[in-house]
Amino acid sequence: MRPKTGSPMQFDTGGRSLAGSLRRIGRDGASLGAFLVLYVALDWVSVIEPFGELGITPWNPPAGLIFAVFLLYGARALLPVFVAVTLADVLLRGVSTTPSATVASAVVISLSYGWSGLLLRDKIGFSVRLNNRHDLLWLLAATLGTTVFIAVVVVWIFCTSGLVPWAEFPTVTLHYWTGDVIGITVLTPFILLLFDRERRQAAVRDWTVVEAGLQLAAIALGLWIIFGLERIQHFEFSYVLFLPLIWIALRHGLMGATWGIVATQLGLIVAIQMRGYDAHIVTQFQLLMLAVTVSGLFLGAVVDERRRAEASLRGSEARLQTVIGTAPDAIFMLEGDLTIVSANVAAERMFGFRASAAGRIDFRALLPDLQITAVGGDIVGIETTARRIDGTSFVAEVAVGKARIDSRSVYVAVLRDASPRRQAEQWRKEHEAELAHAMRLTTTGEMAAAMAHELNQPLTAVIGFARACQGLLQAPGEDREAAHRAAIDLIENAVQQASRAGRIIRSTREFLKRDDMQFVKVTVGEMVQAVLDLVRAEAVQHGVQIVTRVDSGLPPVFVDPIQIEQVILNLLRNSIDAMVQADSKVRQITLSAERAPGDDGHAEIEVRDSGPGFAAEVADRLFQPFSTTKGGGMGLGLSISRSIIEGHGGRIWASSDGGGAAIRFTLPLDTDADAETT
Amino acid sequence: MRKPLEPAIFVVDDDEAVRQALNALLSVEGYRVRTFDSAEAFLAQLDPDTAGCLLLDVRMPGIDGLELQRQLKRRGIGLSIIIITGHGDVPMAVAALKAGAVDFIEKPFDKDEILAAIESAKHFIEPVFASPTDRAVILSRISRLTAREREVMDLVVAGHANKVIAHRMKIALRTVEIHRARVMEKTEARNLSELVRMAMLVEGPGPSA
Repeated sequence: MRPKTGSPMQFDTGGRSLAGSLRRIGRDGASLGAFLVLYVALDWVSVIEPFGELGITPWNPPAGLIFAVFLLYGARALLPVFVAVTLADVLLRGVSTTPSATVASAVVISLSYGWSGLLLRDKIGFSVRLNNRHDLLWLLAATLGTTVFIAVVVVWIFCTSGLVPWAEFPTVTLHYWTGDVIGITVLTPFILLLFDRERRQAAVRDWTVVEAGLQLAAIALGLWIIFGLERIQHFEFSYVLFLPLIWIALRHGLMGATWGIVATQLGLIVAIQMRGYDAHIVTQFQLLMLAVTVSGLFLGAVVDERRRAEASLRGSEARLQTVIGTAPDAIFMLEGDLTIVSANVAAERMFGFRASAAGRIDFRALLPDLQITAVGGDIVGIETTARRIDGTSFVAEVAVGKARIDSRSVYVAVLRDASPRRQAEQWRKEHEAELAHAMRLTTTGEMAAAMAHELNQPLTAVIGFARACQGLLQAPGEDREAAHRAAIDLIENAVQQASRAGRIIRSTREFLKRDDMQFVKVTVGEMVQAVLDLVRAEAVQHGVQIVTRVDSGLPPVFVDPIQIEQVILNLLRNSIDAMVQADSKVRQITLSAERAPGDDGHAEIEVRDSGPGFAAEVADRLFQPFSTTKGGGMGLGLSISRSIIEGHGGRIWASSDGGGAAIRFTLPLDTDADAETT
Repeated sequence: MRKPLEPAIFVVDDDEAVRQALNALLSVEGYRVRTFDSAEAFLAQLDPDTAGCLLLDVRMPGIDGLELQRQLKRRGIGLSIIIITGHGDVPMAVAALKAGAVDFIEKPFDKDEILAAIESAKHFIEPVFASPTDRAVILSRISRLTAREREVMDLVVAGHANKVIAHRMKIALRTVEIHRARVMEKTEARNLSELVRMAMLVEGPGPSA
């Protein structure tokens, strides 16, 4: 109980307020008082054909009240029940000559019903709301056991204290037992269900006064038939009592049944009193009542169960229909012979038919290339041609599931239009080349600064050599011959340097050329050389040393050199960037190429750096697009590199072993050349 | 008695062609040239009494030009240093100038440029325009610049490309070029190197030699 802020009289007594406690005590007190009053009243009312002064009647509703109270309130009810039983005994039968018997029997009654009630409450799967036949069964079983026990023990107490002659022991016990059992079966479920709000609301909703009136009239009629017709033997038509109850139970389930039972029992008691039968006959009628009660209760429980199952089924069905209706994929329900039972909205849209026409469409015509029955089990994710009603075709992804209902087979087919996905694939393939091209442009843009620097070297040299040559020619000195020879050498050097500049420019231009893949036979060494020309300036700028180890006996490969050079360049630049970003002390890249170990048909090229490397978890994501640890950059380089390598039929993978990162990729060797060289 | 060493021109550049070309060019002009492919190689061969002029590529793997400059100063070597830069190295060159280099020239340079730089360096002349009068002259020239032109000059001297200057000042590229031309005109600087030295002078005296 949380203390309510702002309420008066708040004492910090472990989180409870005095007002709240008083309120609770008040409530409990009221309940207690009500209970006591009710108990005594019931006891008084139920005195019919008592055996002597002991109040042993074949109708003991107080027992029903007690048991219900224990089931609802648990151990708390122990004391109140004991008090009630004793009080009633004292009030109604006076202070007897054997107070010990009174007290003892009260104790036995309280404890037995209490123990039984507690056991039931704590039993797993038992609901005090009596939700199903199982609950009912347990209630009746507990009732049976407890009442037998109590009857035997209490009557034994009475016999021992002389209140009952021992000879009467069996009869009195039977009386007693009957009364208790009837009292409980009639009253306990009735009381328990009164506390069930759901059922109360349903009853108020569905049970009209008119109907109730009619049903009461039916009970009255039944009773009149049994008791009111002078000429008829009384038991001949006693089964008539079943009929109104069956009606009520079918209409209103368990709760209805309990009301009907109470009404029937009351009517029966009244009728019996009016006729004034002796105890023996009364007991027989009560046993009949017991049969009617148990039947009614079980019928009511079964009706409740069924109603609940139906509601649940309706719920499932509604949900299923919603799923099928809103699904973007086409869903067909088919019989075993492939006639269409139903099709959802998406199916209508996809194939261009109307729901009303679904039954007449031949499913096989929609998917002409698919053999459904040929497949024993389920078909999953097959692509096949689908044909619309208007004759146009498209590609669909189909999944067919088979189910057995009783002995029939039914199918469910789910189709998805694969066109969007294929279009996307197509677009991607077409634009991959463009994307790679754009990547190259960006790359070169970034390299421009470093390249300009690189071009400056040969140009400076050209000017130097040319001027030196000029100088020599203008003032040759004594040895004209030597001067001339030197001049020629200088010119040669100048030309070489100019060519060097030209190579760099050409490499760049080729690199940028928008090209579809053009495969040529080329050695790894040549490609490595071309890339080095492009990247040398940048490497020098950042103090990175590139060591190449190309196996000279490596046969050539048949590739698109521009793309492979792009990959190598990308790897080198990544390594440079990584080492710069980590400010590595040692900045070295080893570029090696050799035959792939264990796989003679491939060359393996490795770019290994002395940078920071990467963590094992990152390894998988490295080749994903848009994954980059660099500040700038789009993170596409490795992803594009992978598509290029895989497009050439090779593999690319990365590893990091503490000494930096190593990226390796394979390229298939040119098999003809391979054959030549071996 | 100190034996006077013959002054030589030391070329330190990691590019072989550049070394060879400079060697040929300067030899034909009558200079004694010695070339080294790295700062480390140069330092290894260094004689403490060396005299002459050092042609130094500022961007090299291993010890770069600036670092070599610092080491020489620490050792008290009195060589005149001419910085050679490739494209984009102007900030480094400016730093080198502030650290005491005589001049910087950008690749690709022609014969006249390199010879002029060597001439001034050969005679161990301190950076030009060191005298107070010169300083006053430069200050008056710079005061001719408008505020925008001064801004452009500062950015140019810092080594930024015209495009970058245009972006930072939020003006068109063409405007930057016009400003730059006017700056060169009004300050009467013959090239970027001179302009940088003027700017340094205006900022304050250079670092202690």
